[in-house]
Amino acid sequence: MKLSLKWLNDFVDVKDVKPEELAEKMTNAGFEVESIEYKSKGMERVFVGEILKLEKHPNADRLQVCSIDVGFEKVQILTAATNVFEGALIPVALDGADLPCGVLIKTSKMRGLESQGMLCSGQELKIDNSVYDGAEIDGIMILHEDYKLGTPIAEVLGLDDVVLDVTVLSNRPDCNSVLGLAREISVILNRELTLPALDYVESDRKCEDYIDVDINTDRCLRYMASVVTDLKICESPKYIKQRLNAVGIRSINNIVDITNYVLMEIGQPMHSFDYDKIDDKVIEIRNAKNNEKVLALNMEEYELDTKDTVIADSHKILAIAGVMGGFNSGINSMSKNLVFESATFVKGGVRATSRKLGLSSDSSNRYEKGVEPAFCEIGLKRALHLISSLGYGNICKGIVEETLIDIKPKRLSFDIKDITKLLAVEISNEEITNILERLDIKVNIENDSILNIEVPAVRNDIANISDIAEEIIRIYGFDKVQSTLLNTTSYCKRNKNLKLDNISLLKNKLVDCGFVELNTFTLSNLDYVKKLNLSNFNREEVIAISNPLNEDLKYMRTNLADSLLNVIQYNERHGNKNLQIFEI
Amino acid sequence: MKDKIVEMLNKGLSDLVSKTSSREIEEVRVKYLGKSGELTAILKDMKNYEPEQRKEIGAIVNSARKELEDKIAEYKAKFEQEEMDKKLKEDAIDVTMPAKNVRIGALNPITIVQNKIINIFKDLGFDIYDGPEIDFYEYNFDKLNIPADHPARESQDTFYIDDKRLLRSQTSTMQIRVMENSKPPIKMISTGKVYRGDELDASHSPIFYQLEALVIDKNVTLADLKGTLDYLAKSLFGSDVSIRMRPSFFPFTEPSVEVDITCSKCKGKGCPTCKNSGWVEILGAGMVNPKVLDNCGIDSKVYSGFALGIGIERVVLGLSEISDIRILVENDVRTLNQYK
Repeated sequence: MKLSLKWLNDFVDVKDVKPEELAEKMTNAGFEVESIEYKSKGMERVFVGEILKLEKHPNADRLQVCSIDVGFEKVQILTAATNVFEGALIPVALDGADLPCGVLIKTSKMRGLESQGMLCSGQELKIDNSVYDGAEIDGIMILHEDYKLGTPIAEVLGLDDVVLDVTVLSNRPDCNSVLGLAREISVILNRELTLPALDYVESDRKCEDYIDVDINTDRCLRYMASVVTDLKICESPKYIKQRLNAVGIRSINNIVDITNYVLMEIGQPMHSFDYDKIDDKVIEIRNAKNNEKVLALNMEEYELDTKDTVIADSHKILAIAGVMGGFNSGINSMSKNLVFESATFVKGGVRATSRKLGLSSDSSNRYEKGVEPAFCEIGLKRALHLISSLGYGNICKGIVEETLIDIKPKRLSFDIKDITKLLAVEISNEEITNILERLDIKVNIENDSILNIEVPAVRNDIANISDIAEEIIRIYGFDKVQSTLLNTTSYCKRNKNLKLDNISLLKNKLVDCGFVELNTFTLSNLDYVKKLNLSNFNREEVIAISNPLNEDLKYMRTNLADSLLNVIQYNERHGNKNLQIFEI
Repeated sequence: MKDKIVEMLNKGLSDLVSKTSSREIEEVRVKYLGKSGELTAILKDMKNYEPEQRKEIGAIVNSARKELEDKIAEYKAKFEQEEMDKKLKEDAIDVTMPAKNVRIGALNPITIVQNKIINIFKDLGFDIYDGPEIDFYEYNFDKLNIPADHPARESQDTFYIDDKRLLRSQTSTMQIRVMENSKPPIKMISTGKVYRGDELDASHSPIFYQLEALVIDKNVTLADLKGTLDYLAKSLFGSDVSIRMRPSFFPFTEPSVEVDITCSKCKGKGCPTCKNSGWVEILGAGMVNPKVLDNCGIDSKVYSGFALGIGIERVVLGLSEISDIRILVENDVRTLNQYK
């Protein structure tokens, strides 16, 4: 999962922590950082400058001499570009810049005049229009807003960000989000966590008058819907575009961007339907019928069966649940009203459908990892908060939902001694309390010895004493565990394994006689039966793999001769003569 | 005098003709040319002659001696060669000849590493078990606390035979078999082939080797796991390596860890091999999940334990300069002969 540090700073302040240091601390707490990407790489010596004066080069027809102010100094730069003018704000690469395109900038003389840098095009900065409008024009990139001279160009482009590629373990799907990782980082660094704003203004219209939700499948645990009227479809604000861009998601329009933003920030997949394309005000979540067809957003038609789950109105399929919306129910620039979907589909169901159709999306990927039902509400409210605060429409009062499971915290009790004994560390009750409470686990210690905890519903991974021991030790630090060599273990009677001893003996004898031991695949095809002329071969006795990688790895081999012959053939071809080989 | 010398020479030469061995030739040499030989005696007698005579006789004696010496050398060489040939014929075994090249084979690198690790655990008092590569779903999944909807169970990850049996995707199956069939204390290792649905490439193989270790007893702690890992790493990679435990997740252990060792290439300073982290991952481990103990009829309130699993190929690559796992299934004898 890609984590933008700028985005992370909304929830926990890490501005003073070096990305490398943060990465190491996260790795040691179970969130391995695979890579650190500096979005501004190559732009360290590129600043906003203004062209003060533009003159023709006295000795070269094609060159112009620019006097440029970059705030902290004035420089002279020669350029062949024709789209520059006096007063233009432009990206200026100064001496020493090692640009994203690979060009190294040095002060040099051209036809007798000194050039102390270079004016940059979007191409040289390796950016396109999605990063900065006008980046793709032929020539120098002209900045069309007012910036303070000398501002690093990365800041102007929103590329003053660092993105960590974090491996989130499969038992922690609650951390596949900026917020989830922010909570962990706040515990790791022992810093305050700021929760995202979820407040929004509602109109007088009631959501329940607009839509009804009906779950008729066991593959959907929770479905929440909310209606927004008087929709305004437009471009997203710059910070949303830049943050999505930083984690590899292209901006589409404000509504699609908000669903993606919530997916990345909260970890809740969202979908938006055009309200006016839903018949009879009803959203049903049901199993698909055999041979039922749907045209998806990607313009491909898919044929479904009863193992697939769909979102439907009274007449038609609106979406393949958790995988992709339908083409005919989606939002477009003409849409007036929308329905937000925030739902929990079971991971096995989404995975099966996604595999079968060969169709995956950011949403299906997230559902496959597991989305806890508790996130539905936070996700939906976060999306409504963004709609409300950015003025994109009027939100109907209330949320329509159907929930088929209990969503409540889990209460567990353990003897603290059992935990510290397993971990073999001395850790105080205060420290245990501090670690767990920061992880949003409520703690009450009875008589200094019994640990009563209340685990939030999103932490499905915590069920027994070992789980809670792990939470404590991964924050406390595995490096604080001492090393002992089984000093409390009883004596075990040595169990002689004659078979393995004899095999080992035989191997050594063969090696002494000049034989080389092979390691060949135990799976094969059945070509050898014919090749070796095995007359008493009984096909019934061969064990076949029901899902082989390919036909050559389909059967458990019944003899070694074929493997050895293949090795001989390989070695002969490579000029190895006089082979003495064996395999047991 | 001159006649006497010529007579002596002819006698000497005819003496030589009748001889049949180098030893007899030597006797002839001694008789005429030795310290008290006949020709030598004439030379010794020279001081008694007048200078004029001395010169004349000296020349004759010397030329006679020269002729005789040459003839002796000729005969001697001839006989010596004959005798050497004869001796060589008689003594067919020559102990002074350099030894003939004896061809010694080689264990497979997989076996070598397996043996190394087995011996390390033998020293710690572990039992060795071997088990079936074809096993039941419950040993490979259910009893290891791998839930029914876990991705590892998907057909693209595990090879199935029928609705009960599969090709084991991990040697952890042997943990279950041993726990079910013996009472704690348990200290066991097991090693062998495992199967996963990965196409063969530089870092994956559908068939590869694992080694599993399991300890179950009263009072087994995380510190015992750390100590054992430390001992294993130092025994295998050298006493100067240190280990790092990182939190991880496996359904059958809790807490679970990935274990890194200091990068052998840069000694922990950071290099391309270790992606600048200074650490290289070698194995996964953890404290046995109480659910797994309960699944095997061992009271998790009384007993605890740890388990660890190592990919053998990874260790082979770690101990050599090879970075492509395919070389280990290519079976080129020139490569295999280099591991000893």
